[in-house]
Amino acid sequence: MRKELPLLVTILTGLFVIFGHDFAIGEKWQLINAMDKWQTISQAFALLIGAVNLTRIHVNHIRRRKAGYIFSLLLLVALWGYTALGVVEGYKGQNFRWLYNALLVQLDSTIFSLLAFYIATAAYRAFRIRTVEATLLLVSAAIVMLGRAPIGEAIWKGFPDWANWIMRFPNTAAMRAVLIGAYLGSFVTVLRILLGIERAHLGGVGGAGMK
Amino acid sequence: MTWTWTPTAAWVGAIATFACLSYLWAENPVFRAAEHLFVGLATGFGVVGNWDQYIKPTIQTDILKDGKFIYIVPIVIGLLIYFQYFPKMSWLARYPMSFWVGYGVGYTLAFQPAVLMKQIVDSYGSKFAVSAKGGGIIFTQTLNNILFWVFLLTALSYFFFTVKRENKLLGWPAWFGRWVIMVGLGAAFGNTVMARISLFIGRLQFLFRDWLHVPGM
Amino acid sequence: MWDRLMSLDKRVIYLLVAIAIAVPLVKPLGLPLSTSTESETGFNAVDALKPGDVLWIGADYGPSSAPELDPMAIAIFRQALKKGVKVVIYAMWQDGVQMSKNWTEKVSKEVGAKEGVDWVNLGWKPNNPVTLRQMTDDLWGAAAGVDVNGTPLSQLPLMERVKKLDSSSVAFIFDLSTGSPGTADYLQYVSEPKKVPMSVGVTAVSAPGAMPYVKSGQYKGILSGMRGAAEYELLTRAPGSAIKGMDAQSLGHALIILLIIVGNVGYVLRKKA
Repeated sequence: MRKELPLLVTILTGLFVIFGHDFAIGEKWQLINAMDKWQTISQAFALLIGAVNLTRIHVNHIRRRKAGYIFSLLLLVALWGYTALGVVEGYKGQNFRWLYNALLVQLDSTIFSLLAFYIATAAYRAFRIRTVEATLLLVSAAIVMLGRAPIGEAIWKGFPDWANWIMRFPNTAAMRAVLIGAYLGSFVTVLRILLGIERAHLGGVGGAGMK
Repeated sequence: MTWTWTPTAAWVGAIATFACLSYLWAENPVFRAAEHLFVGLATGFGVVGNWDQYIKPTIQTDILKDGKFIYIVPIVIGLLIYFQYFPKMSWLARYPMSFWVGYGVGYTLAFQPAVLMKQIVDSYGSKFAVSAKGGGIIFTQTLNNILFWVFLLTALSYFFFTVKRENKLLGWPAWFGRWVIMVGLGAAFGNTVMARISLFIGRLQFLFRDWLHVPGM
Repeated sequence: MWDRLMSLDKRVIYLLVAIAIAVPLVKPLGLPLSTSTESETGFNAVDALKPGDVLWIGADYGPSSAPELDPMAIAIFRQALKKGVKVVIYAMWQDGVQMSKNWTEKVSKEVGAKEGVDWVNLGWKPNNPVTLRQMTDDLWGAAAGVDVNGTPLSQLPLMERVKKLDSSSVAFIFDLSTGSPGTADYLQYVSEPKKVPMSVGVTAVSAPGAMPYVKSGQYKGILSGMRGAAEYELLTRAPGSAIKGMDAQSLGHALIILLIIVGNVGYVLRKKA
């Protein structure tokens, strides 16, 4: 029953939502509304799991004195120190916002900005025109890059128009084809879950797989 | 209170920025410290947001003030997830997961078809663009509409694996569709370059404007 | 020579990137900038709102997308407040709360708008898009009855008119998003079922994937990346950080194209040799 009952919960919840939304009586009784709040509350109380997992991993590093455990200590101090500050002060707290804007924003955006450098080296070292497909990719990319930046417009007035044309027609067609495929894929996946064929979400809890 | 850059804040931000950029030279302890600090602060930020923006008002207002004690049931459902840390009771953690996955399944089936249908319907409308003034056909727009339709069908045929590609009827559209997808991916690459460069522009704008106070920034 | 060029230290390329982007920021080139139909459509939709209408801004992004999306948010928020349009802000990303706090405070001070009367920041709530959908039927319940500062919604005059996120309360949605949850959720759970027209501002990375919805008219235009933000600033006649970044963007793109060309020429010549 430890395996079948959760599966039944999944199926019944799925059917409940569909009934609540797609049937007139379900809509009239506002079934989803009542249940939405339950879903949100349950998730809110579970969201601490990320912090708990991170703490377990890094406490383990510190206990075993693994290489670089001092960084684990720094992480834990930052995590729980900032959490304590936020719980005391709240979102609008001066110090909480100060740390967010002066430190967290800067760390976050700089780590992501490293991608500007990596994409440049990738373009130099890996972007090779060996086939017709690669040539098409490069030409399209170059037109879009030039058309979407003022330098293209300064070189030739036609670049923005061609960039827009690529974005509106071949790009939109290709993306729509991918989108239709993705939608169909997601329908198939959820149907598999609803029919109890796909059970991955129930397995692996505490190392106990679902056989 | 409006956020403004004080010299201390700007210096802290600049040091954090250079600590992260130092990774470009080589992996180093300063970067590792910055990286761990980032993960710690970001997770703490998530915990506080959850507490401050939802859990606190739900307990204070909904449960204690309005007396909706029934909400204790979803709280218990959510808390069951933590049983995964106790091997003997870990099966209990399956219940919240089942509830959430079931909810996602229901949402997908209830809401997604409408959006997908609109995408499909839009693909097969009339191809002739008619001028609002004279009623004549606008040539370029009509040509683009037809081209779009050809691009879409051929790109779709590339994902059609039911019949072997050796089939001539399906072979050439799939081959052309592959080209269309490549043009699309090229556009995606161009846009990605644009986004990545914007990220670094943002960093330099902070350094020049808020830290170094370069005039005109 | 080509051998040496092809085995160039990656740090030299990093330096070239840094220079190409930094120089135009300090010494702008003043390159021309035009607007696209997609940006104009989004701008016109907000411009067509009447004083008193409610515009809903989704702040679904974090610091890493701020250079692209913050200027859009500032321009749209300013345009709306100046027209007397009321604004409600909601973040499906936690970072969106602090991001939006920064620009709402700055712009409302500049325009002289009053929080709670002219605009409300609902902050972030967990479990999106479920919470977002619940807002279409019961906004106050979904928002746990409080705004970003913990002020009860009953004490905010603007919220008396906005009890549901649907066409009876909200005239237009402008979602600024980095990914998921974001624009697709607004489309699926709000715009389509509740018939609220919407437009989007997205990072350049997300723009190609959003184009099918622009073509089908489900998104009324799109602002794509820093270029989209610069175009919006141009349309609102309020130059900001996006317009200032456009020259740097130009040289950055030119450098990448140059790197691809040099890389390929070197590859061919080395192969021949």
